[in-house]
Amino acid sequence: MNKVIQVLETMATDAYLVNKENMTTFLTTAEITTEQQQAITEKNTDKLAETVADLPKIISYSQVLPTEDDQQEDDNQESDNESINRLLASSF
Amino acid sequence: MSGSLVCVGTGVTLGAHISPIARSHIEQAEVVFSLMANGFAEKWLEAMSNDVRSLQPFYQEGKNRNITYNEMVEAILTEVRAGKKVVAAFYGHPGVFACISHRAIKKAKIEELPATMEPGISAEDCLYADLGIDPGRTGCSHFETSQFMFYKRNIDNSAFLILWQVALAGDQSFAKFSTGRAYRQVLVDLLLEHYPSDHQVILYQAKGIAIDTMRADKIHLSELIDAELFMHTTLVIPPSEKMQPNDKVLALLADIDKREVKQNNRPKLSLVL
Repeated sequence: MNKVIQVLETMATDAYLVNKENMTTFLTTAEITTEQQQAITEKNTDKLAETVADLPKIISYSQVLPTEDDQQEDDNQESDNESINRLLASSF
Repeated sequence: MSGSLVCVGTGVTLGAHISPIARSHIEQAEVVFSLMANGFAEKWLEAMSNDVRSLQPFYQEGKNRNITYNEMVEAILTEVRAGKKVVAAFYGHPGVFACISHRAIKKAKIEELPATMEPGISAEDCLYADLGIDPGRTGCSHFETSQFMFYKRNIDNSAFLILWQVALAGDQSFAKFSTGRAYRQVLVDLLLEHYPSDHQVILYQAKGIAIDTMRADKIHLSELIDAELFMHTTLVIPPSEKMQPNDKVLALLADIDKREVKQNNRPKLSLVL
């Protein structure tokens, strides 16, 4: 596992690291770059993201649709934009 | 050998919220499909299994999300049908505001393929903890924001109202990454039928990774139009009115209480032979 991801996981799972001093000591011993240590101390997520190679860009929706029903789930049904718009229009 | 599907939740904060059984399913799976909320979490998941496949490439701006979700379901089920032990890992809870896992499990069961769900800590769970809200105190209703706008609802302003995905308010195309000011104005106007314009609401975002700061910005309802919203921003509307007693029901219950007391105080008869 990428070292910085490992650090983030440890920070999220070890109650000992809630204490600021313990956290500082932990970071100095963690095998991460000075830049990463700084980003973590500053709680700067964007800065930290820049230090991780190939960090995937993520689109994060709630996976829910406003007009969810069985008809939309069925592969045999029309599922293009037009048919859903018609479904929406008919529900008003 | 028959394939199987387990949909698991990895929780909201990387590392902190995953259950031991969810982690074990991921580690023992032959194929893991992932839909995480940030790049760090996706990397973290990649380290847990040799074959982790992100569902992210299915998303495209301008593409109807219903089509996207059906494609994701098909990608998952193709591997289950091929006899693989498949895990679909979703951030948060895999069954809360998460249609993909419900659709995949439903389809798998129709095809008589074993499919189950393991819960995870959801954004809703984090919200209660971070904002100190007990949904049992006054009641609480949750809606996806656009659904709340598209359909007529009975709004109870003596309970909490929580609107998810507020940044996409009013998107009828299901294809946008955000909607603008005009759409939000419609939402605000709808809410103003039930709440005063200076009613204090909260813009909430849970922590995705340990160094994130939870967002709990308090604004007036009318300020929502120009507020900075992200896909994961949730609108929390606290009650604006006190709960009103339902006198009719309370009277009926009082009558029952009286009858019960009368019955209990009646002298007990014993049979004398």
